[in-house]
Amino acid sequence: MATEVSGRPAVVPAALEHVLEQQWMPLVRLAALLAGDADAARDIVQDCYEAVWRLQPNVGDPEHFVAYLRKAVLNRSRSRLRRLRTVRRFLAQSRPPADAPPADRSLLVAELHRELLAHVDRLPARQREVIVLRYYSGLSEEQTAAAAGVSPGTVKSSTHRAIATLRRKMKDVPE
Amino acid sequence: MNTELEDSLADALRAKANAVAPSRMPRLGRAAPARGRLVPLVAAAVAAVAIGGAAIVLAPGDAAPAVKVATPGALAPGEVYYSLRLTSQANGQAIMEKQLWQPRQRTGEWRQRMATGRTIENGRVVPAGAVTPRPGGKCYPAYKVTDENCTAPGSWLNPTVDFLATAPRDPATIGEQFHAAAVAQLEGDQSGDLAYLVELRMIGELLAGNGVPPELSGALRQVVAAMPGIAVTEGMANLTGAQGTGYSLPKPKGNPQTVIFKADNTYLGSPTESIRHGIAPGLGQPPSRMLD
Repeated sequence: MATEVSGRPAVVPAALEHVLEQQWMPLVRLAALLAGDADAARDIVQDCYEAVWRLQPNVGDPEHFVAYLRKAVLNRSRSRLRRLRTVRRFLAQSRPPADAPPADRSLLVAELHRELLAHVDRLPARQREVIVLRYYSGLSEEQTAAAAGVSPGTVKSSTHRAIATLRRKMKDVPE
Repeated sequence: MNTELEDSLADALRAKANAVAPSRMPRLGRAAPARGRLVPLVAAAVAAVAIGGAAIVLAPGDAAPAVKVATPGALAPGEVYYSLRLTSQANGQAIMEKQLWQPRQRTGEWRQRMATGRTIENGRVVPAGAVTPRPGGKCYPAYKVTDENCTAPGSWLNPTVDFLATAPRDPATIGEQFHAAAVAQLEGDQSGDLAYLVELRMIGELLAGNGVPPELSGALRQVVAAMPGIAVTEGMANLTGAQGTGYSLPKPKGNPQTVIFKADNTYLGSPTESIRHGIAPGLGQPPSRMLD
């Protein structure tokens, strides 16, 4: 691959490609949570990667570079959701309301997750992003703030509001 | 320290993320192959109706109500619309059954009952557990009369019974309006294939609802039949085995988007869904007659 990038030192694209390869699935999974479906997620991350590949950035600080990629994925997920928000609103309206709990545990847990994720999808965009970054990516408030481009205080309040909403929405779900 | 809800939330997010099939990073630095542009609608449709290898006992027909009538619409005092919708979920690993009781009056109280199972017998899900009534609401599909989808005027995207009763019946007019609505949903994206997929999904959802007069169902079938690229399959079965004519559009990935009609234009659902409509004497009561 490195020889195909004319005028660039071979070591840079090789290192870049290695990091991108390592981060491919984690970022696809993050994008799937942010954008709502896996196919869109792959497109989003591939678009990010194409842009990054053209820039050929220095990846001397992998942690910083991964944070940059995460932010790029989040921004592209936002753009996609903005464009398709009315489609999603239509789907949310047409989707059957919540369902009854089945008996066996695996189905019960799957159903609980399904309902919880449905409520996560209906959170305001910022709250949903914060929830995904905090509870899926396991980022701290500060890291979440950096990825989402907001202050740590906003992360804290958005998390609090989102959890309160989810708790309220889930209150009639049998334990 | 996380609460139980926060733990469940983290588990749910991880489960959803881990359900994303592993894929290889594409080769970079060259023209990317053309990628199908998927809207969440298409993906959601795949997720909602995908059917896999679960052991499903197909039993055509429906043991529930006995009497069929040819013309719906006229509800006696106290009567409500009833619908029975079965949907294959989680790649066919579960089947969700939803019974819905909906009054003629838009803002009236509605009720629902859900069951989940893995098999179908006599057109009904065999529940894997107790069938628990879920809270209903007012002004279906809203829960409160102040909800946006209750206060918005009736339209193809917000099909109130009153709107359906007075909506156009000319297939050309309906087709133009649906297509414009689909393009609007895509925020002006005029790319034909995608808009027709959205349109087909919208029509399927409309037909799955209550209060669609038979002549409108027939007109909608003509709209579907006239869509560019539509594939017609005779003898296609819905989730419970009822057969009709299938109309399908290919999706960029996954199974086609399909709607199935009986010869009399009754909407049957799709290979991963079945729909039946009827009339019940009251909320939560078994249907006294079926309309299809």
